[in-house]
This record gives sequence, C-alpha cells and structure tokens, in this order.
Amino acid sequence: MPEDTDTILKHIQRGNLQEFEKLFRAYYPLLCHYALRFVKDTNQAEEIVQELFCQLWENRKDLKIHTSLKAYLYKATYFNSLQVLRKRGVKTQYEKYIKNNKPESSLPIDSVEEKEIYNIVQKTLANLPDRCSKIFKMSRFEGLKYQEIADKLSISVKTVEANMGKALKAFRKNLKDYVGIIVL
Amino acid sequence: MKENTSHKIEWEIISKYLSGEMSAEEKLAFEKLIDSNPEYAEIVSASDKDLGLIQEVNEIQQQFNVDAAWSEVKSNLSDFKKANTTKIIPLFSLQNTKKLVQIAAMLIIAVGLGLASYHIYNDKLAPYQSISSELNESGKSITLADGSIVTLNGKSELVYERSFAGKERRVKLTGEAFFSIAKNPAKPFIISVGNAEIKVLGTSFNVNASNKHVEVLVESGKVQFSLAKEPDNKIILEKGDFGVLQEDFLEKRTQNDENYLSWKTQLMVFKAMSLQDVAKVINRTYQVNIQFNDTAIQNLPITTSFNKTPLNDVLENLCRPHNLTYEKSGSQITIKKELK
Repeated sequence: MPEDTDTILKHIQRGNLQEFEKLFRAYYPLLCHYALRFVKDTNQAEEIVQELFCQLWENRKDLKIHTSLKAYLYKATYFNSLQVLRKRGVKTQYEKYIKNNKPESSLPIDSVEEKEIYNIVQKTLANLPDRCSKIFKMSRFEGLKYQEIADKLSISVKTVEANMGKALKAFRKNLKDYVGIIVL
Repeated sequence: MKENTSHKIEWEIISKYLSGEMSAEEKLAFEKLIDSNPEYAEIVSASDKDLGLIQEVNEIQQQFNVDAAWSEVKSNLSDFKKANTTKIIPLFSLQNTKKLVQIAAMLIIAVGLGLASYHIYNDKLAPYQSISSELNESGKSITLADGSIVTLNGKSELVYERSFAGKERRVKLTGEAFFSIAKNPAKPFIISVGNAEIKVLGTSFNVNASNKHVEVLVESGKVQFSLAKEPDNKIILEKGDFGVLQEDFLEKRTQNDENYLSWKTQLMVFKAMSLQDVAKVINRTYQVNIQFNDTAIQNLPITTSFNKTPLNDVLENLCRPHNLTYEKSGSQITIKKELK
C-alpha cells in the first residue's frame, strides 16, 4: 500500500506546514526508534531526526526523491546515524554496519518501524471499546495478571479473558495484511 | 471464507496462552492442539508477533515525545520561514557601499584634534566622524565618546557619532571590528552593519562583515542581533555565542576556531593544522597574503603557537624546521621549498 509520496511532497514543497507536521507526527517516533538502533542514545537519535526534518523543510524546493518519501526518510536517518557514529569515532561499529548493512537491507520490513504497522496498532487500540482497551493495556503494558485486573476492575476473570480475546482478534484482523501470513 | 474459519478460532484461549495465564496442564493440552493443527499454529504465532509489535509501539510512544519534538522543530523552522519571506536589501550592495563611502568621505575629520578643541568646535563640526584602516593595517583602535573601545581589523571602517547626544549610541561598520562597549543601560549601543543591526547595552564582542555575510562573536554580556529592516527578526547572543547573518537568514552557530580573534589578540594556536590553513590565519592576523610555490608543502602539519610575535619571526619559525624559505614583498609573501 504505497502512500502518495508525490502529493505529500508537492504540498510540502509549496510550503504547506500542516502537511509537513502530519508527516513529522507520522514518522518521528519511528525514525527515532530506527536511529536508536545505530546510535544507542535516545537524545542523539531524536537530534538526528529533528535535524533531518529541519533540513527536509529547508531544502524542500530542491528535493528530488526518486523512491518513496518513506524510503528517503529511512535512508537519510540511516546515513545520518552512521555519520554520527563515524564522528564519535566508533570506527569498528561504523565499519561493521557499513559492511553488513546496505541501506536497503537495513530498511525496516515487517517491523514496527513500518509506519502502517505503527498506525494500525495505535488506531486499533483507540477503536477498542473503553473497557476492552483498558483491560488489554493493564495486561500487556502494566504486566498485571488476569486475576489482578479482575480484582481492580471488580469484574470476573471470565470477563477479562473475553476482552483479551476480543482485543487480540481485532489486532490480528487489522494487522493481517502487514504482519505474518494471512490465515483468517 | 475467511470468516468461516475465524469464528472457530478461540481467541480467548490463544490470549490466555500468550499471556502466560494457563496452568501447566492447560498449556500442555493447548500445545498438543497446536502441533496437530498447523493452521492454528500459524495464527498463534502471528498473534504472538502482533503482541510483540504492540508492545514495541507502546514503548516507542512512551519513549519519544512527538509534541515536544514538533514544537522544537517548528521553532527552528519559523525562524527560517520568517527570514525567507522577508524582503531584504542585499547586504553591501554596490549602492550601499557607494553611499557609505560617500558619507564616510564627507565626514572624515582630521584625527589628532585635542580634546579642548573638540569642545570648542563641537557645534560647528558635523555630528559624525569616521575611522578607517588600510588593508595591511590591523589593530587600529579608537575610544569613543562614551568610553567604548573599538578595534578595527584591516580594510575596515567605522562611522560614529562624535558625542552620542541622542537616546542611542549609533555607529556604522564596514569590515571587521572588536567592540568593547562601556556599560550604559539607558543608552543602547547600536551597530548598523549592512542590513543587520546589533544592539547592546554593555559588552564585548567581535563583528565581521564581508560579502553578504555578517558574523558576531560575543565575548561577554548580551547582544541582540537583528535585521535592520525587521527588528523583530532577531536572535539574542550571549557569552561565547556566535551569530551569523547569511543573506537574510539569521542563525546561532558555534565557533570552534581558536584563532577567530587572532587578528586582535595576536595570539595564534595551531594544533596539527595544515600549513595552508595556518597561512589563512596568518593572513587574517597580519593582513598579508601568503602563497606557496609548491603545493606539496601546503599540507605540512603545524603544531605551535605565537603570542604577539612579529610577522618575520612567525614566518621564520614556521619555515626553518621544514627547510622552507620565504620571500616578502609588501604584503605578498611566498613560502618556498629550499633547493639544495
């Protein structure tokens, strides 16, 4: 499902700040996460991505993207991260990456850095019934046992089980086009 | 068709299994079921992967604050956007320069008037004066009426108010100068340089203006650096800050060049710097033009320092260890490889 790179890029090139913000919000956490793989420092990763977006805006008029905007963003993040590694003098690390990872092969495939996956997860969670998403979050993010959730919310363990199943099904349904094999 | 199979899948059980909520016996029984049913096994494994991704999405969301990052990025952009949309008269256009030269020419007053005669002729003289330096003349300095000291680098010019009678202390600069401004919060000191304006209350800093480019390095105090036509388009520079106006774009940068102020301090430090780059520093410091007759010697690494050393001694010290010689004719210097 390729996004309409041309349209977004055209908007940005015309100086449309709203479109630029949308792009930023959609990709910022993902690119930071991606940069973090290489630089292993959260602040540094954020700096790289912020700088990248600033440059994108500044150079928007001269920008020529032959692939997709997404591929461009990941590639630029990749190169800028390596640049940082090189400056840092982490030579072995840098050389290792250069040797083993062509930028293409290090692009995120079937991973959460894929924008669609990230968005689907967010959307699915937001669209679950309130109680269902609450139960799911307590179980998955807070690490609570079914019994603990049941006690806290004054519901039965059966209800917790039912809601957990419902959430899992919703995620599988929405992610099936992007992750794993289609079996449903 | 898909729906047909999907309703048979017991999501509650899968979830229970993946959440580690099953008892040992339940788990054993379920794993047996998976083993005998590859289709089911695939769904369980895909769901397991989903949960991993969901976990990751949550972590990423917690880890990176998009709102904060966006406001950070946006604030950097708006500066750019603003500067970009501003109509600006090009810095140091021929017209501007001509005008400035004209004003300066008109206002040049014989230097050396005694302080007494200063006061006597106060009313009859023009309110502006100027001081300028020749190409090979650096370190020329002047104390203004308010006690501020301005040191000019070579080929520079300062037009200043003789008595600073008004509400502001205004001067106009061409080229490069180091300012040490006497403190007077009631009367801001304003430097016009090209289309930039630099406003200060009391501080010391360096201003370097060349082709469509104005640089300000602050040594102490606070400086407001803005476009003359648009005072709201400004940056505040503090001790150690380095501001640059390129075309119409104002920007705070870092200046790591230890020799940036060498022209004033006469102190030069070279750490494994190529002779070619060393020459650039010397050019700036002594207002000369160094050339090489052999490109091979340009990359010789130099590590040394000079403190208020006469130019000839500097050249001597650079050349001797590397078997080089130099020839000097006016401000033209040629460094040569010694022929045996």
